[in-house]
Amino acid sequence: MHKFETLDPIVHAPVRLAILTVLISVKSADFTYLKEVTETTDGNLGTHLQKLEDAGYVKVEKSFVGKKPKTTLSITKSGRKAYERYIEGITKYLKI
Amino acid sequence: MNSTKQNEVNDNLNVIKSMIEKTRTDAEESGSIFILWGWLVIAATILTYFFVYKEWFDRIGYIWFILMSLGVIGMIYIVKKRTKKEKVKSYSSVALTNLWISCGVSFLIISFLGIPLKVVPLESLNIIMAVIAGIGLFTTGGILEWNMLRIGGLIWWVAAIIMMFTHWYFHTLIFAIAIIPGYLVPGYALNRKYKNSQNA
Repeated sequence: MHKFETLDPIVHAPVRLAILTVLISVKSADFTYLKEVTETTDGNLGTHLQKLEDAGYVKVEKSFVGKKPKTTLSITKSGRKAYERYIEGITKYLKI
Repeated sequence: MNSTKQNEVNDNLNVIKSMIEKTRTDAEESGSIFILWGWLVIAATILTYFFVYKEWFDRIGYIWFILMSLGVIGMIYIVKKRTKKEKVKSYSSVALTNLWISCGVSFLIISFLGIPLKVVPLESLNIIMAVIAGIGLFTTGGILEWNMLRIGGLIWWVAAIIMMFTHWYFHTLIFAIAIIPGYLVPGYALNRKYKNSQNA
Protein backbone atom coordinates (compact mmCIF):
# COMPACT_ATOMS: atom_id res chain seq x y z
CA MET A 1 0.00 0.00 0.00
CA HIS A 2 1.14 3.54 -0.77
CA LYS A 3 2.02 5.46 2.41
CA PHE A 4 -0.13 8.50 3.25
CA GLU A 5 2.98 10.27 4.58
CA THR A 6 4.55 10.29 1.14
CA LEU A 7 1.81 12.58 -0.24
CA ASP A 8 3.24 16.07 -0.87
CA PRO A 9 1.94 18.28 2.01
CA ILE A 10 2.15 21.38 -0.22
CA VAL A 11 -0.33 19.86 -2.69
CA HIS A 12 -2.43 18.01 -0.09
CA ALA A 13 -4.06 21.14 1.44
CA PRO A 14 -7.56 21.43 -0.16
CA VAL A 15 -7.28 25.10 -1.26
CA ARG A 16 -3.83 24.53 -2.78
CA LEU A 17 -5.04 21.35 -4.48
CA ALA A 18 -8.00 23.32 -5.87
CA ILE A 19 -5.65 26.05 -7.18
CA LEU A 20 -3.36 23.51 -8.86
CA THR A 21 -6.34 21.62 -10.37
CA VAL A 22 -7.56 24.85 -11.99
CA LEU A 23 -4.10 25.92 -13.16
CA ILE A 24 -3.19 22.52 -14.64
CA SER A 25 -6.15 22.69 -17.04
CA VAL A 26 -5.62 26.25 -18.30
CA LYS A 27 -2.71 28.26 -19.67
CA SER A 28 -3.15 30.96 -17.01
CA ALA A 29 -5.81 32.40 -14.72
CA ASP A 30 -6.08 35.67 -12.86
CA PHE A 31 -6.45 36.08 -9.10
CA THR A 32 -10.16 37.04 -9.24
CA TYR A 33 -11.03 34.00 -11.34
CA LEU A 34 -9.23 31.69 -8.88
CA LYS A 35 -11.03 33.40 -5.99
CA GLU A 36 -14.38 32.80 -7.71
CA VAL A 37 -13.86 29.10 -8.46
CA THR A 38 -12.11 28.15 -5.21
CA GLU A 39 -14.69 30.15 -3.18
CA THR A 40 -12.08 31.55 -0.84
CA THR A 41 -11.15 35.00 0.50
CA ASP A 42 -8.42 37.31 -0.84
CA GLY A 43 -6.25 36.76 2.24
CA ASN A 44 -6.62 32.98 2.31
CA LEU A 45 -5.96 32.65 -1.42
CA GLY A 46 -2.95 34.97 -1.14
CA THR A 47 -1.43 32.87 1.67
CA HIS A 48 -1.84 29.61 -0.23
CA LEU A 49 -0.52 31.12 -3.44
CA GLN A 50 2.56 32.34 -1.58
CA LYS A 51 3.23 28.77 -0.34
CA LEU A 52 2.83 27.40 -3.86
CA GLU A 53 5.10 30.10 -5.25
CA ASP A 54 7.75 29.43 -2.56
CA ALA A 55 7.65 25.72 -3.47
CA GLY A 56 8.19 26.68 -7.13
CA TYR A 57 4.86 25.17 -8.17
CA VAL A 58 3.16 28.36 -9.33
CA LYS A 59 4.39 31.38 -11.28
CA VAL A 60 2.95 34.73 -10.25
CA GLU A 61 3.00 37.66 -12.70
CA LYS A 62 1.84 41.13 -11.71
CA SER A 63 0.80 43.69 -14.29
CA PHE A 64 -1.50 46.66 -14.78
CA VAL A 65 -4.59 46.78 -16.99
CA GLY A 66 -5.16 50.52 -17.27
CA LYS A 67 -4.76 51.64 -13.67
CA LYS A 68 -5.94 48.37 -12.14
CA PRO A 69 -3.37 45.84 -10.90
CA LYS A 70 -3.73 42.33 -12.31
CA THR A 71 -2.18 39.15 -10.91
CA THR A 72 -1.87 36.30 -13.39
CA LEU A 73 -1.02 32.79 -12.23
CA SER A 74 0.20 29.75 -14.06
CA ILE A 75 1.51 26.32 -13.06
CA THR A 76 5.24 25.63 -13.44
CA LYS A 77 6.85 22.40 -14.73
CA SER A 78 7.67 21.29 -11.19
CA GLY A 79 4.12 22.18 -10.10
CA ARG A 80 2.75 19.98 -12.87
CA LYS A 81 5.06 17.12 -11.85
CA ALA A 82 4.13 17.51 -8.17
CA TYR A 83 0.43 17.44 -9.08
CA GLU A 84 0.86 14.30 -11.20
CA ARG A 85 2.84 12.62 -8.40
CA TYR A 86 0.09 13.55 -5.94
CA ILE A 87 -2.66 12.05 -8.13
CA GLU A 88 -0.55 8.91 -8.57
CA GLY A 89 -0.05 8.80 -4.79
CA ILE A 90 -3.73 9.08 -3.85
CA THR A 91 -4.69 6.60 -6.57
CA LYS A 92 -2.29 4.05 -5.06
CA TYR A 93 -3.38 4.94 -1.52
CA LEU A 94 -7.03 4.32 -2.36
CA LYS A 95 -6.03 1.38 -4.59
CA ILE A 96 -8.21 2.74 -7.41
CA MET B 1 -6.28 2.21 6.58
CA ASN B 2 -6.71 5.15 9.00
CA SER B 3 -10.27 6.47 8.47
CA THR B 4 -9.34 10.16 9.08
CA LYS B 5 -6.63 9.95 6.43
CA GLN B 6 -9.01 8.09 4.13
CA ASN B 7 -11.63 10.87 4.57
CA GLU B 8 -9.02 13.53 3.85
CA VAL B 9 -8.09 11.84 0.60
CA ASN B 10 -11.76 11.37 -0.34
CA ASP B 11 -12.45 15.05 0.39
CA ASN B 12 -9.52 16.00 -1.82
CA LEU B 13 -10.88 13.84 -4.63
CA ASN B 14 -14.13 15.82 -4.33
CA VAL B 15 -12.11 19.07 -4.49
CA ILE B 16 -10.49 17.89 -7.75
CA LYS B 17 -13.87 16.84 -9.20
CA SER B 18 -15.51 20.14 -8.28
CA MET B 19 -12.65 22.25 -9.71
CA ILE B 20 -12.66 20.30 -12.99
CA GLU B 21 -16.42 20.95 -13.30
CA LYS B 22 -16.03 24.66 -12.58
CA THR B 23 -12.98 25.46 -14.68
CA ARG B 24 -13.68 27.00 -18.04
CA THR B 25 -11.32 25.31 -20.46
CA ASP B 26 -13.15 26.17 -23.70
CA ALA B 27 -12.11 29.16 -25.74
CA GLU B 28 -14.75 31.85 -26.05
CA GLU B 29 -14.78 33.46 -29.44
CA SER B 30 -17.02 36.47 -30.00
CA GLY B 31 -16.77 36.37 -33.80
CA SER B 32 -16.01 40.15 -33.90
CA ILE B 33 -12.81 39.60 -35.89
CA PHE B 34 -14.64 37.55 -38.55
CA ILE B 35 -17.35 40.23 -38.83
CA LEU B 36 -14.75 43.04 -39.06
CA TRP B 37 -12.71 41.34 -41.80
CA GLY B 38 -15.85 40.16 -43.60
CA TRP B 39 -17.28 43.66 -44.04
CA LEU B 40 -13.88 45.21 -44.83
CA VAL B 41 -13.18 42.72 -47.62
CA ILE B 42 -16.71 43.19 -49.03
CA ALA B 43 -16.16 46.99 -48.98
CA ALA B 44 -12.75 46.59 -50.64
CA THR B 45 -14.23 44.32 -53.32
CA ILE B 46 -17.11 46.70 -54.13
CA LEU B 47 -14.68 49.64 -54.33
CA THR B 48 -12.32 47.59 -56.53
CA TYR B 49 -15.16 46.93 -58.98
CA PHE B 50 -16.13 50.61 -58.93
CA PHE B 51 -12.50 51.61 -59.62
CA VAL B 52 -12.25 49.03 -62.43
CA TYR B 53 -15.49 50.46 -63.91
CA LYS B 54 -13.98 53.96 -63.73
CA GLU B 55 -10.69 52.58 -65.11
CA TRP B 56 -8.71 53.89 -62.10
CA PHE B 57 -6.55 50.75 -62.12
CA ASP B 58 -3.49 52.36 -60.52
CA ARG B 59 -5.50 53.35 -57.42
CA ILE B 60 -6.86 49.88 -56.59
CA GLY B 61 -3.82 49.07 -54.44
CA TYR B 62 -4.64 52.03 -52.16
CA ILE B 63 -8.15 50.69 -51.40
CA TRP B 64 -6.73 47.38 -50.19
CA PHE B 65 -3.86 48.99 -48.31
CA ILE B 66 -6.17 51.45 -46.44
CA LEU B 67 -8.91 48.94 -45.67
CA MET B 68 -6.51 46.16 -44.62
CA SER B 69 -4.63 48.62 -42.38
CA LEU B 70 -8.00 49.54 -40.80
CA GLY B 71 -8.57 45.81 -40.30
CA VAL B 72 -5.25 45.37 -38.50
CA ILE B 73 -5.97 48.41 -36.25
CA GLY B 74 -9.48 47.08 -35.52
CA MET B 75 -8.10 43.61 -34.78
CA ILE B 76 -5.49 44.99 -32.34
CA TYR B 77 -8.30 46.96 -30.59
CA ILE B 78 -10.54 43.85 -30.31
CA VAL B 79 -7.67 41.66 -29.01
CA LYS B 80 -6.59 44.31 -26.45
CA LYS B 81 -10.18 44.74 -25.22
CA ARG B 82 -10.55 40.96 -24.94
CA THR B 83 -7.25 40.56 -23.03
CA LYS B 84 -8.42 43.20 -20.53
CA LYS B 85 -11.64 41.28 -19.83
CA GLU B 86 -10.09 37.80 -19.95
CA LYS B 87 -9.92 36.21 -16.50
CA VAL B 88 -8.69 32.84 -17.67
CA LYS B 89 -6.64 31.88 -20.69
CA SER B 90 -7.42 28.37 -21.95
CA TYR B 91 -5.09 26.29 -24.11
CA SER B 92 -7.66 26.38 -26.91
CA SER B 93 -7.74 30.21 -26.91
CA VAL B 94 -3.91 30.23 -27.15
CA ALA B 95 -4.13 27.77 -30.07
CA LEU B 96 -6.72 29.99 -31.81
CA THR B 97 -4.67 33.17 -31.37
CA ASN B 98 -1.57 31.48 -32.79
CA LEU B 99 -3.52 29.96 -35.67
CA TRP B 100 -4.93 33.36 -36.77
CA ILE B 101 -1.56 35.07 -36.31
CA SER B 102 -0.09 32.40 -38.64
CA CYS B 103 -2.85 33.00 -41.19
CA GLY B 104 -2.39 36.80 -40.93
CA VAL B 105 1.40 36.59 -41.35
CA SER B 106 0.92 34.26 -44.34
CA PHE B 107 -1.50 36.78 -45.94
CA LEU B 108 1.01 39.59 -45.37
CA ILE B 109 4.00 37.66 -46.79
CA ILE B 110 2.04 36.77 -49.93
CA SER B 111 0.40 40.19 -50.48
CA PHE B 112 3.18 42.58 -49.50
CA LEU B 113 6.24 40.55 -50.51
CA GLY B 114 5.29 37.74 -52.89
CA ILE B 115 3.18 39.93 -55.20
CA PRO B 116 5.48 43.03 -55.40
CA LEU B 117 8.53 40.78 -55.94
CA LYS B 118 6.51 39.03 -58.67
CA VAL B 119 7.40 35.58 -57.27
CA VAL B 120 3.69 35.02 -56.63
CA PRO B 121 1.52 35.83 -59.67
CA LEU B 122 -1.23 38.40 -58.97
CA GLU B 123 -3.72 36.04 -60.61
CA SER B 124 -3.24 33.50 -57.82
CA LEU B 125 -3.59 35.97 -54.89
CA ASN B 126 -7.30 35.33 -54.23
CA ILE B 127 -6.83 31.57 -54.55
CA ILE B 128 -4.01 31.53 -51.96
CA MET B 129 -6.03 33.79 -49.61
CA ALA B 130 -9.06 31.50 -49.92
CA VAL B 131 -6.93 28.42 -49.14
CA ILE B 132 -5.42 30.12 -46.06
CA ALA B 133 -8.89 31.31 -44.92
CA GLY B 134 -10.08 27.70 -45.31
CA ILE B 135 -7.25 26.46 -43.05
CA GLY B 136 -8.13 29.13 -40.43
CA LEU B 137 -11.88 28.48 -40.45
CA PHE B 138 -11.69 24.67 -40.58
CA THR B 139 -9.12 24.47 -37.74
CA THR B 140 -11.08 27.01 -35.64
CA GLY B 141 -14.15 24.81 -36.14
CA GLY B 142 -12.13 21.82 -34.95
CA ILE B 143 -10.82 23.62 -31.84
CA LEU B 144 -14.25 25.06 -30.92
CA GLU B 145 -15.95 21.81 -32.02
CA TRP B 146 -18.37 23.74 -34.18
CA ASN B 147 -19.41 22.36 -37.55
CA MET B 148 -20.63 25.70 -38.93
CA LEU B 149 -17.01 26.90 -38.92
CA ARG B 150 -15.76 23.68 -40.48
CA ILE B 151 -18.35 24.16 -43.26
CA GLY B 152 -17.10 27.76 -43.60
CA GLY B 153 -13.60 26.34 -44.16
CA LEU B 154 -14.90 23.91 -46.80
CA ILE B 155 -16.68 26.82 -48.58
CA TRP B 156 -13.32 28.65 -48.84
CA TRP B 157 -11.64 25.58 -50.33
CA VAL B 158 -14.50 25.08 -52.81
CA ALA B 159 -14.21 28.80 -53.73
CA ALA B 160 -10.46 28.29 -54.31
CA ILE B 161 -11.14 25.33 -56.63
CA ILE B 162 -13.80 27.32 -58.55
CA MET B 163 -11.32 30.20 -58.96
CA MET B 164 -8.77 27.78 -60.45
CA PHE B 165 -11.23 27.04 -63.25
CA THR B 166 -12.37 30.61 -63.91
CA HIS B 167 -10.71 33.68 -65.41
CA TRP B 168 -8.85 35.72 -62.76
CA TYR B 169 -11.05 38.73 -63.64
CA PHE B 170 -13.88 37.02 -61.65
CA HIS B 171 -11.74 35.95 -58.68
CA THR B 172 -12.44 39.03 -56.54
CA LEU B 173 -16.17 38.60 -57.15
CA ILE B 174 -16.06 34.89 -56.17
CA PHE B 175 -13.98 35.87 -53.12
CA ALA B 176 -16.60 38.47 -52.10
CA ILE B 177 -19.41 35.94 -52.46
CA ALA B 178 -17.46 33.36 -50.39
CA ILE B 179 -17.00 35.96 -47.62
CA ILE B 180 -20.74 35.82 -46.78
CA PRO B 181 -21.04 32.08 -45.91
CA GLY B 182 -17.33 31.74 -45.14
CA TYR B 183 -16.86 34.66 -42.72
CA LEU B 184 -19.96 36.73 -42.00
CA VAL B 185 -22.49 33.94 -41.31
CA PRO B 186 -20.16 32.03 -38.89
CA GLY B 187 -19.02 35.38 -37.42
CA TYR B 188 -22.56 36.49 -36.56
CA ALA B 189 -23.45 32.97 -35.32
CA LEU B 190 -20.37 32.97 -33.04
CA ASN B 191 -21.32 36.43 -31.82
CA ARG B 192 -24.84 35.28 -30.91
CA LYS B 193 -23.48 32.19 -29.13
CA TYR B 194 -20.94 34.35 -27.24
CA LYS B 195 -23.61 36.87 -26.14
CA ASN B 196 -25.87 34.03 -24.95
CA SER B 197 -23.00 32.48 -22.93
CA GLN B 198 -22.23 35.90 -21.37
CA ASN B 199 -25.87 36.37 -20.35
CA ALA B 200 -26.19 32.81 -18.98
